[in-house]
Amino acid sequence: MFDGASDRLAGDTSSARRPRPVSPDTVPTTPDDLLTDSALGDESAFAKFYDLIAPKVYGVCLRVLRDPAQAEEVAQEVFLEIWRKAAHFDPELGSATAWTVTLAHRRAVDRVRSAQAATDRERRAAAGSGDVAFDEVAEVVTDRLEYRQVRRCLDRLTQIQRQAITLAFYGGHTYRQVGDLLGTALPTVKTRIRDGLIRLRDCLEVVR
Amino acid sequence: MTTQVHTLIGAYALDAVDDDEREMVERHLTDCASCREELREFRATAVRLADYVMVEPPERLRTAILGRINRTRQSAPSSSRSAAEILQPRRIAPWRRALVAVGVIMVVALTSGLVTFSLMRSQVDDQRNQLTQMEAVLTAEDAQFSRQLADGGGEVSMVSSLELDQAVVILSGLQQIALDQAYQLWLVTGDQPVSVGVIEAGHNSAMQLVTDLAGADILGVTTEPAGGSQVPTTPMLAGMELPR
Repeated sequence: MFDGASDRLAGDTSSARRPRPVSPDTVPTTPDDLLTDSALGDESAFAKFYDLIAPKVYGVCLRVLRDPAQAEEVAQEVFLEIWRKAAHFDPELGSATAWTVTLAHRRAVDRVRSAQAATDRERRAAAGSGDVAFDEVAEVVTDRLEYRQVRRCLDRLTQIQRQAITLAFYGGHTYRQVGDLLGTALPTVKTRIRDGLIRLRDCLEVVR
Repeated sequence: MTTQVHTLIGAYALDAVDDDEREMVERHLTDCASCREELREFRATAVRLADYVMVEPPERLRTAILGRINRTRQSAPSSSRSAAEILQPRRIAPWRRALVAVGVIMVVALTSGLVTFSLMRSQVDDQRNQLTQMEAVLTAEDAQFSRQLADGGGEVSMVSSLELDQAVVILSGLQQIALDQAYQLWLVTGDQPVSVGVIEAGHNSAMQLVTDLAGADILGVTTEPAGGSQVPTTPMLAGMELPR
């Protein structure tokens, strides 16, 4: 369901930039390989898998939920679900990273849309801790190649494309809510999200 | 209509649609190969957005997860299931709210013997007859309550009455399953499992009356293909001992 090739490339980049306790002449260990080993009950492989992609999973949860405690809860649920279902991982359908991050985003959004979380979030928003607090508190990893690449590509979107995509993905809003927030007609929002994704896809060279 | 659905694929890839729209898109995807291709690319693109918000999690998250995996059973590989299915839409049973109410009512029933079923009745009218039987179990003199956390999340609660030879089993918030899967209840006597009910496909919360306990040892729950299986094909997510 995902484009495996592109995500494996992304995965390789991140693992190559991270110190790994393996000798240089061993085969590079990708998230895909590690999750495949995890399916056989290999806990140390899963620990390495966690180390490689936890910042993405936790980062997405934190950005959507805006609450470290809830982000930890959801990230934990996600990793345990991936551990349980590791045997169902099929690299043909997409990379292990894509599988896990997609699941994390979905679960975080589900949590946001549950009534209780929405209430909490409104309360926090009312208390004045919005975007600013998040950016101050969370130490976003900015020294990686992937970060700079995404940033460069986001910068190439039109303002409304960028707003629509970031409110939807990072804000966990539906496109209807995005329309309300931006004061934009719904068909326009849908189109901007789609056009923006196409432009991002091409800029990030997600393999077609 | 098709055009309209097609323009939603971008929003769908970002989880930015409501439940109805999600179903609509998924129906559309089943017979539109180019849409599936577009979704694949959009999803891969969306995953890259995570690279912009990476945050090192606290060490305790690692400790918690790695501490739990050795106590977490892994499911067996199966050719009929795929990674994609895990991402199937969350099906919230329309009467899930009622179930929460039932949970509360059960506690009330067991502590004070006072039960009001009007709320349940209004929401699940067609199951009135079963509910009358359930009410009898919940209010039985010898009702026993037990509860167990299920593997993968959620819990199974059971109120049983030996005198009535019946039990009410409540599955609440179990592990999300795909729409072509269903939870199935079993009574196990010795090592012989007998099916005593299949929950509606895709639902992870439900209430079920189980009759004819007939001296069974265990009430178990498994995940099966929609419609249920003749014998359990996956490990029990929960197994509750029946009172003797």
